[in-house]
Amino acid sequence: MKQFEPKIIAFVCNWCTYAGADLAGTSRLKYAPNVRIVRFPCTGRIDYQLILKAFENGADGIIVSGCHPNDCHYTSGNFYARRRWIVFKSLIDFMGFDNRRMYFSWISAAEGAKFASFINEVTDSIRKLGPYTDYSNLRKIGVGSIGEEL
Amino acid sequence: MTVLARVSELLDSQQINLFIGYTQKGSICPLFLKESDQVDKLIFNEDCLQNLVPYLNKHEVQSFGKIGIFCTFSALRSLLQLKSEKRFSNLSIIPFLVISDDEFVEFGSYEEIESYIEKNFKKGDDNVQEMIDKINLMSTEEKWEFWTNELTGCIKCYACRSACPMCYCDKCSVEINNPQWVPTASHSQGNLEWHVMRAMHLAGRCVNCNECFRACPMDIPLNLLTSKINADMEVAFGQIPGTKLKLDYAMSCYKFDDKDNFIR
Amino acid sequence: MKKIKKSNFEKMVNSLLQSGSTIIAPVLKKGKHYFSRIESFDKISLDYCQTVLSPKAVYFPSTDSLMRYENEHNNVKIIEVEVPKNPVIVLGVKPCDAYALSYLSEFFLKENSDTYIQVRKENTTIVGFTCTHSDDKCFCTSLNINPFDTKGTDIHFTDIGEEYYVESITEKGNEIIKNFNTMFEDSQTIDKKEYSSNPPIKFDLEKIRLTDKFESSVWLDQSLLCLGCGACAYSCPTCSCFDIQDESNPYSGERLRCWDSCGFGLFTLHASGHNPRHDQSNRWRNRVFHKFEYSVKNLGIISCVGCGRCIRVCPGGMNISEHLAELATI
Repeated sequence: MKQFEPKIIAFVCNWCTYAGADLAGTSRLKYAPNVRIVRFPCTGRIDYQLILKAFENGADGIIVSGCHPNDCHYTSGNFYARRRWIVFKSLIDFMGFDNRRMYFSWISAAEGAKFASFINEVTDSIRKLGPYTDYSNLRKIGVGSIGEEL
Repeated sequence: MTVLARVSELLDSQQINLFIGYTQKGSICPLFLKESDQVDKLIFNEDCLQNLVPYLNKHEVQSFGKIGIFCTFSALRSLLQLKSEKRFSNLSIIPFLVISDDEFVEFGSYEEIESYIEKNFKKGDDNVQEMIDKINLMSTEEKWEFWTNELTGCIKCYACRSACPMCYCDKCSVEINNPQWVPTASHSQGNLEWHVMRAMHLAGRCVNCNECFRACPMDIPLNLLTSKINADMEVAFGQIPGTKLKLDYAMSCYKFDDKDNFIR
Repeated sequence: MKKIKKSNFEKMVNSLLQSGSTIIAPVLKKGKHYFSRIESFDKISLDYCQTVLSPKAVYFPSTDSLMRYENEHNNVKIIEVEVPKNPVIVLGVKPCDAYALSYLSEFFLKENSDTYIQVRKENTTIVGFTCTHSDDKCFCTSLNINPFDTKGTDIHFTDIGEEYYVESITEKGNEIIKNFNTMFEDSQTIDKKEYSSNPPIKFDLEKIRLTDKFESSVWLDQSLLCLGCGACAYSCPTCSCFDIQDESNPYSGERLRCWDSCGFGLFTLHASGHNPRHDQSNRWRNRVFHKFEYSVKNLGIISCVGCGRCIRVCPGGMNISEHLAELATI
């Protein structure tokens, strides 16, 4: 049987993690091809709803990554982002989302090796977890359709 | 002087043009007074739970300009939070906190509200905290089942949004429809997305008045979501919404040592 | 006229369940009643005043799939949605709700017949029950609906103690009696009024003249309490407004019909940004006018049945029966 290959969406900031991914490429580091990178100007722009949208459209895992604290190109974007994630994580843990599928990291432009090993590590652990359908399957349950609650 | 006499005095002397209070008509409901002749219909007792402050967000109500209003303790907090968010700049509002017929507090300024709240601060509802503790002890799967079961019942009537004092946006995120960003369809996934979004937009702003739960026709305990993240935020950032006149919004500031042990 | 013993009624329901019919009936959940699909007879709770939501979703679900499409390399394939054709029986429908369902089918089927609702109506049997519990929010009698009326039902039951008094109204009702003819006995005609609730009349319908009150200030006064949510419209058994939503991604999509409410500001917002119903008072006026003026003009029926659901669910304490009583005096 063919091995399950997870789809992983990485929301990354333009200045650090994206450049880190670039460095991994130019350094010819090999990493898992399961990740699709979406580039943002700053982690401060990464809306929590994008994470939900990714899960809705079939992502099995999510990576959110940006500059280390104090390294933000816009001085403080990643500090605001960090607060948002703290709150978001507390909410989705409370609601029972599978939080093992969400990874947050700081990866700088110099950390090509960290990027490659991080992607490999995340891909491995998500591959072990299997496909994530809890959230995307919810769409099929409607209120008021015959047979459901009215 | 009784509170009713004071309200009719204010109305008669046109220091206020509208008074928002409670009355008993079968059940307890809000009463809007423009003249003092019906002031004896006003009541206040421990069953008067509805937060009346959301009415102040309606432009029809705002057009009265000078408004008196009955406030519960959490309604006072919502008023203060709204003021800190630069609302009501064109309104003069006289809030009343009624303890009994003869015993009431009339607030002349927002500073008075701030110091009253500081002196008399009480934590939210014990039942809510109990429920949150119960859910915290559940496993991830149990939590997921609990919330999907509850939220499947949501019919997207947006009563939670309408009854919430903090939901005053002219254009709500769910009304961004070009393209439609949050689904308006009431399938479970759309419901979940809407309630995650609502809870996140109220993070650090919710004053635990529990209006969303009271308003929900399907009895979904939405107040648990906002109360839970607010409790966590209080621990993490030390900020409590609706207690400061100067804007103290946890999501619009940061500390260098915010907890980041979950970030790799 | 027929009657059936309660024990036989239980047997009948169980046998209908076994034969594969979907049965929807009032069910008690967290202290309130909801219409819900049942798996066994003991889930049914007929001892209710009013359910939170109306049974209108049997015809008109809150989210209804109209069509789907799939797109593979620019090959677009349209997939028609099949409405399930298995028989559905709605048990325990009160006269107000049955009346409302007959209005809904009139609304959706009169001129341009709506296929989805047509199919559902054809496969649905409405089993009406004489109302036995009413509260201070009920006002069906004020709208000339009796709590034992049979309009809109296929077969109508009245609880007379140990037995149900049964009237068959349509062909579908006759079918049920035919299929279970050993259980039904002949009965004399009874006065159902003795067994029904009797909500008091709250206003004189004849005195409500809306035509000249369009510009009245009464709408603003009444709507001050309204917070602008859709709870009234979504719980209303006759509110039929909907919004078409396309939910899609580049590979597939679905067209959905979702409930909508004239109480929302977005309902009439033009693309230009202009909103003809700019205030909540305009929206409230539209709600009353639709129910008591427009639907009378268009279909000849008042589209309010006095079930009182909107009063029970309103977070702002709007009370349509009091407001109508006020309108009757001016």
